[in-house]
Amino acid sequence: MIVSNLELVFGKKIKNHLGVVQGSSVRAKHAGRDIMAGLKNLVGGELKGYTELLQESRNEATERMIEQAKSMGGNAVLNVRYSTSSIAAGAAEIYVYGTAVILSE
Amino acid sequence: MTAITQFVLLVLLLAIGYAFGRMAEKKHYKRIINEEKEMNVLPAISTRLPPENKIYEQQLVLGSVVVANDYFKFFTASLKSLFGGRLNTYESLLDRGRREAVLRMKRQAQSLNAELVFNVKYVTTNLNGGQKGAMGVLEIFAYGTALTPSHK
Amino acid sequence: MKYQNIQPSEGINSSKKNPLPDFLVLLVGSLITIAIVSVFLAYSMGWLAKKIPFEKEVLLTESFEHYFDEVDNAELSTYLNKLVDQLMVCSELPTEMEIKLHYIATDQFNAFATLGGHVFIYKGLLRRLKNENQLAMVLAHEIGHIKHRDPLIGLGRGAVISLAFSMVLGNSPNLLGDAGLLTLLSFSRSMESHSDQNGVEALMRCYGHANGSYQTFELFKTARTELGATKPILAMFETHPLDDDRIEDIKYFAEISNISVAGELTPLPEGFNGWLK
Repeated sequence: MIVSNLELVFGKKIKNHLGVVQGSSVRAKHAGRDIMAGLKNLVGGELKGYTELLQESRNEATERMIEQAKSMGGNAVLNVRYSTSSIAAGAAEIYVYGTAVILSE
Repeated sequence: MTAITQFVLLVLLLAIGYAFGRMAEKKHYKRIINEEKEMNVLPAISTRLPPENKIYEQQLVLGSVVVANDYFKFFTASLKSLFGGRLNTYESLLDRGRREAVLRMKRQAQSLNAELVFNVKYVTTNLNGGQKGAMGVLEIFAYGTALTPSHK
Repeated sequence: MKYQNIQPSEGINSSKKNPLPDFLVLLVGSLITIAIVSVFLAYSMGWLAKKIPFEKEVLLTESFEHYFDEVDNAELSTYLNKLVDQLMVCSELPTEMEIKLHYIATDQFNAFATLGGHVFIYKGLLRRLKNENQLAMVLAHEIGHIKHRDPLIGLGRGAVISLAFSMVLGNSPNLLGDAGLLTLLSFSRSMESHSDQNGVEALMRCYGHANGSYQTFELFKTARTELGATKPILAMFETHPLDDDRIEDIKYFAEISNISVAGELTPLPEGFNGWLK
């Protein structure tokens, strides 16, 4: 499965556009991370716990999008875009979408 | 008495925030600049259309960082909100975050032996969910398509 | 086509300038702004308080009135209330205002007036009084606060200062937010002086002289020394005028108003100390 935010694939032709596929994942940070982050908040800098949390969340959202594309019979997702929104304090939604396509040689 | 202890606490928090925050910032900038120079061999380009003269393998690469401001920055910002104007302290925080995110994205591309990263996009999110008066926690996320020369 | 990344110059999107000088300017600027706004609002509070009818102020305290103790000694109660009634007339208290006196049977050397015309007096203070004139001075002083609407003004000022601080510090850190509460029920020095003057005038009207007025504050002075209270470092931080200054001020006020501070003292009723259980 090729996933890309370009609108083409090198050396291949897009045979069929299958529509928009999307993946979303909402995660909340947990208390332990929150306490560490609270301390870190005094001195600033990177909050590694949160960085990892959102990375996991983003991977999950991407997986879900790929799953959708597979279920539609696609073999690539193109023009992928990400967005993040903070739903409540401590919870964020990661959303990813793109176009599922069938490629031919 | 409580007012005095609170005042002392405030001054202490400001001093800690300032000292550590500034030290960390200096160190971070130094590292970012060095790594950027090193990573310039792998250009990140924000145009949509890739080169047409060569065949590449393509893969999405991501880089993200969650940054928080220190107490000094937070306090300065709330003072500044009375008068308005340029918030230097936040600008540098965001600047550091963006550059760090791109570096991480490039490092992922490097591990794929990529030559270029195309169509780079940034997403910035405030993770405090609009909580009023809360200190800033931001996620900066950069992504693009890594192009690795194809050997097929 | 060639693709490359060239390192741009530093300091375009962010400045390396030390933020400290900027911060200090901001801090001083904010403090001045807060001070100006607070002083303005606090003064207008004095004007505003007089526009609020006294009944509205009473409504504020009505809900927790049942927490206040009643004077449990009938003789003490009758005596104190009679004295308060006389002093209300002598203080020329507007007719819509009413004083509700409460007695607190603890050893603190204190008396205070608060919202809704409530005046509290402690056993520790009553026990030390030497004659009725001194008691009248304390009560007339507190009645003066009620008459001038000082508790309401104090509340308003406290709220304004809290507001000013929360404006600058944001809502989240409660740091310094309590500063407003500190001033919530304390009166300014000028309020205290005005109430002292009310006391002197009320004594004059009730007893024909103001003997006993400044002596009351001599009692405060001795009580403070006995308790080993440290002298405040700076007079401006003390809302109650320093005892010595206060005694001088009262004497001076009596002199310029042609009120004699000498005259026959009225003793406290017999068995007064026995009522204070």
